[in-house]
Amino acid sequence: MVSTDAILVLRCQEDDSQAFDEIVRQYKDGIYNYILRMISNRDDAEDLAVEVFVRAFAAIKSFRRDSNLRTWLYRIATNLCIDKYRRYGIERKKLVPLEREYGDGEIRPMDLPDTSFDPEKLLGQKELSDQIHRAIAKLPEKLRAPILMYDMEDMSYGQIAEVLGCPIGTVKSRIFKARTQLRRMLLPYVQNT
Amino acid sequence: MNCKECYRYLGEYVDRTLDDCALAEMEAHIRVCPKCASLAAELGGVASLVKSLDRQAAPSGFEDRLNAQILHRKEEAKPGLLRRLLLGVPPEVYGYRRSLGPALATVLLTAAVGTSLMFTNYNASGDAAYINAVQQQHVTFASANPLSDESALILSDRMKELNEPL
Ligand SMILES: [Zn+2]
Repeated sequence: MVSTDAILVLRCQEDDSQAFDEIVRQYKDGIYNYILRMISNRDDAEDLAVEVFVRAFAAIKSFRRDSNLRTWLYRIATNLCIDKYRRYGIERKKLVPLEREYGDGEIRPMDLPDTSFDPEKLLGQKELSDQIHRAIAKLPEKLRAPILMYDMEDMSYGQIAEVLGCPIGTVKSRIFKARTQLRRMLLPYVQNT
Repeated sequence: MNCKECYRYLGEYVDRTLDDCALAEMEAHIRVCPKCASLAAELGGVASLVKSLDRQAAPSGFEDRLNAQILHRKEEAKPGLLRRLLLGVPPEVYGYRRSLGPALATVLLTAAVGTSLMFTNYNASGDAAYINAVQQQHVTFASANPLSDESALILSDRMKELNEPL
C-alpha cells in the first residue's frame, strides 16, 4: 500500500505545487514544536522551521521513494538544530538554553529549581510546563532529540533511529538515559504526582 | 527476574514496548520489589510529564514567510546581469542600449567564464524560460545543499557527532 506521504512526494516530483503546500500544512506544527523544544528560542525556531521546508522544497525532486517523508523532515530539522548549537558554541551550552519572556518584554535566562524547592507548593500548569521544558533543555542534545521525538512527536524507536541514523538499541538506551536524567531534575514533581 | 534484569527492561517497560512475556516477568518483580517499583513509577511519571507539555503550533503567517523565502532563494540563484547580457536578454530591460549589449558582453566574456560555470543548469535564453526552468527543476540552489542527497546526510559529520557514545 502506498502511503499518503508517498503520494504527496510523487505529486511534488511531478510539479504539483499544491502537494508541497499539503506537506507543509501537515508537518509545520510538529517540526516547529520539535525545533522550539530543541533550541528554546521562538524566533530562531521559526527561522529554522522555515529553513527545513525551504530545503525540503529544494531537495524533494531527489527524494528517494523508499524513504520516509516524516523522518526525512525531522532529520533536516535535527541537523539544523545541531548546526545552530555549534554556532552558539560553549557559551550557550553553559547557560541553560532557555529563555522566558516576561511581561515587561525582557528576556532573562531561567535556572532550575534550587534544593529549597517546596514540593507542597501548588504549581500552576504554566509553571510546571516551564520546569519540564527547562529540564529537557538541560539534557545533552543527543538525549534531548530522541526523548522529544518519542514523547512529544509520538515517533517509534524505529523512526527515531532513521532520523538519527543510529541503531534502534541506541535510541532505546538514549531515551532511557534521558528519562533517568530528567527524573533527577524533576524528582519533586514526579514524586508529587 | 532480579533487580539487575529488571533495570535492563525498565526503559521499555516505561515506554510500554515490552512483549507480553517480559512484561509479565517485570510486573511480577515489581510487585515484590519496592525499590524497582518506585523507580518504575518515577520514570513513568517523567514520561507523563514530558508528554503533558503543550504542542506549540507554528506561528501564523508561517506559510507566507516560507513562500517568501523560497522565492528569495530562487531570486538569489537567478543569473545576474552579466549572464543575461551574454545570453541575449534584451539589454534595454536593464537600462542599457541594445547595441551596447553584445559589445559589453564581448569585453566581459573572459571574466565571465568562471562565473558562468556556476549556472550550468541554466541554458535558456530569457526570463520566461529561466523561470520555467526553475519551476521544472526547483534544484537551482539544491546543488550546494548536502541535504538534497540522503546518503550524504547519513554520512554527515553532524550526525556522526550525535551518534558518538556518551
Ligand atoms: Zn528490584
